Amino acid sequence: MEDVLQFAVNALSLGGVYAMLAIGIALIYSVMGFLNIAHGDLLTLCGYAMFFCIGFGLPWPLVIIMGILAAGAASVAMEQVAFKPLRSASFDTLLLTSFALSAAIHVVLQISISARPKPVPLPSFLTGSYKIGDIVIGTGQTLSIIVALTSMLGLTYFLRRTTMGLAMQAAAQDFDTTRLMGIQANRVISSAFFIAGILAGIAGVLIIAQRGSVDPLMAMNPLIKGLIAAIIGGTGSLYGPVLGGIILGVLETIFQTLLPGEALLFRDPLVLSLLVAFLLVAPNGITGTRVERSR
Amino acid sequence: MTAPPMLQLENIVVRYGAITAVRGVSCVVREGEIIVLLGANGAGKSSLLRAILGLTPVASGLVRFQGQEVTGWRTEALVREGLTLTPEGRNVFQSLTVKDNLRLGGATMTRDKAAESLERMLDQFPILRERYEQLAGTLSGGEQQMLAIARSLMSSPKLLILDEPSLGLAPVIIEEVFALLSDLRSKGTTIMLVEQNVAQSLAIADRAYLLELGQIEREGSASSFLEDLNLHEIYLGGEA
Repeated sequence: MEDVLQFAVNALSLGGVYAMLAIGIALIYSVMGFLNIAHGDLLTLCGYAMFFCIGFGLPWPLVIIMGILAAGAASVAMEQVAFKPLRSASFDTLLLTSFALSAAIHVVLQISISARPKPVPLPSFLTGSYKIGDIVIGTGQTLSIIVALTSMLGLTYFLRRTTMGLAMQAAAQDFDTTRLMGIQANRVISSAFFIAGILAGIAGVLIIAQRGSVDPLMAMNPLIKGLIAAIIGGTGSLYGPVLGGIILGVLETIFQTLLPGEALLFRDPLVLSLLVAFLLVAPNGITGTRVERSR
Repeated sequence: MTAPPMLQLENIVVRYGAITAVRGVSCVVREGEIIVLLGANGAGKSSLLRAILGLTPVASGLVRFQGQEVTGWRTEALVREGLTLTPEGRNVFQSLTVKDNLRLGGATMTRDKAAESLERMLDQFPILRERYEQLAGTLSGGEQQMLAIARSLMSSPKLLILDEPSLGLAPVIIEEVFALLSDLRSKGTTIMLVEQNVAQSLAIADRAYLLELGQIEREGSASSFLEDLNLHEIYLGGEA
């Protein structure tokens, strides 16, 4: 019983973070039609924003808020600078542009700050742990689950209840028709990038809290996990990437628990092989197949 | 014919790269009219409509709406001025409910006005009230077309442009759609209709234009078009 609970906490906290990245990637993909490789770098930028805020001696809540807002602002800025001039360009062009943007961000950070990690020390409430019966649960993990859940509920509310949320779903299906409703295309796109950035910022705070430092290339691993979660889940709905993130979290935790110490190295390759096998059967992801069947 | 012009097109040219889809089209839609734009597939009808609404750039020519030059305006700005297009086929938002589709139609209005408009639409289209919470994708073809029209009407447009509203519908439903358009006109909406369904659209229209290879080949009153037996030959290539 304890093992099961411990397992669930580990899997869900990991999966929740992946899901938040995946939702952002899927949101941009469904509205703009391309995978934003620079999405991961929002985590990094969130980390550096927190690093500097700590340097200025800001209190913790403010540091975290500034980190998240920085990711949101950076996401909107990316769109304005790099993607907006290419609005009618093809998928390939936008994909390559996002690669270039990501590389540019890495280099700028390496030159202007440092290629080596900068410490982002955590407040004690993020690193501690507590006990329920015999199991020790990290406060960071618990917080990850709560924050991920809250963010997703908030996003669901936004997409279902607000006009901008509806417009975003509509734009994902048919952009021209959405404009024919008198809805401003630019605003829908900026909002999508802002929300994706905020979610990446929240994920960034949780990830950086675990590792305690930030460096220019830190986003690679989380980006790949987010992309995988989005692709496995399917980008057609909000539930796809969430499901994908959780599946990824569960698989990683299973291998983490089952593999003997010397084989732990093979955790990621094993998880990835399973997912490749899955995509061979269901190339559109979990929700993707459902959409096609219903048509 | 003394009514002031609602929409005027002067020498509209639309190009896609090296291909010229619309070659200098001029036409006018007057207040309170139903005009129909006829033409076979590839005649440039949809390109012309997209250009009017700013979804495709106008290479040259002028678009005037209610006397104001609006060439090159953004789509969303034109819709706010009261010019709207119900796109071809089943262009409702399939994975949203009927309710949310209608809400988006009223996205530019204040909350109160949108609620009022929504109530009016549900009265006019009882079937949509029945299907209110259903996903639009689960509606029949005719119901989806009704929803698409109702969604356009939410913002009470001055000029409603419809791209092939009868496409893919059963004959009984087509009759219903055309009866609805006639009814809308009598309530003051000006309508521009693009159709391949020649006879039925001419029956409700005041005037007609025939578009061929991107140019207006013929224009005149709907009755003169109807009287002309050759039209069927011109248009359908010999089938009567």
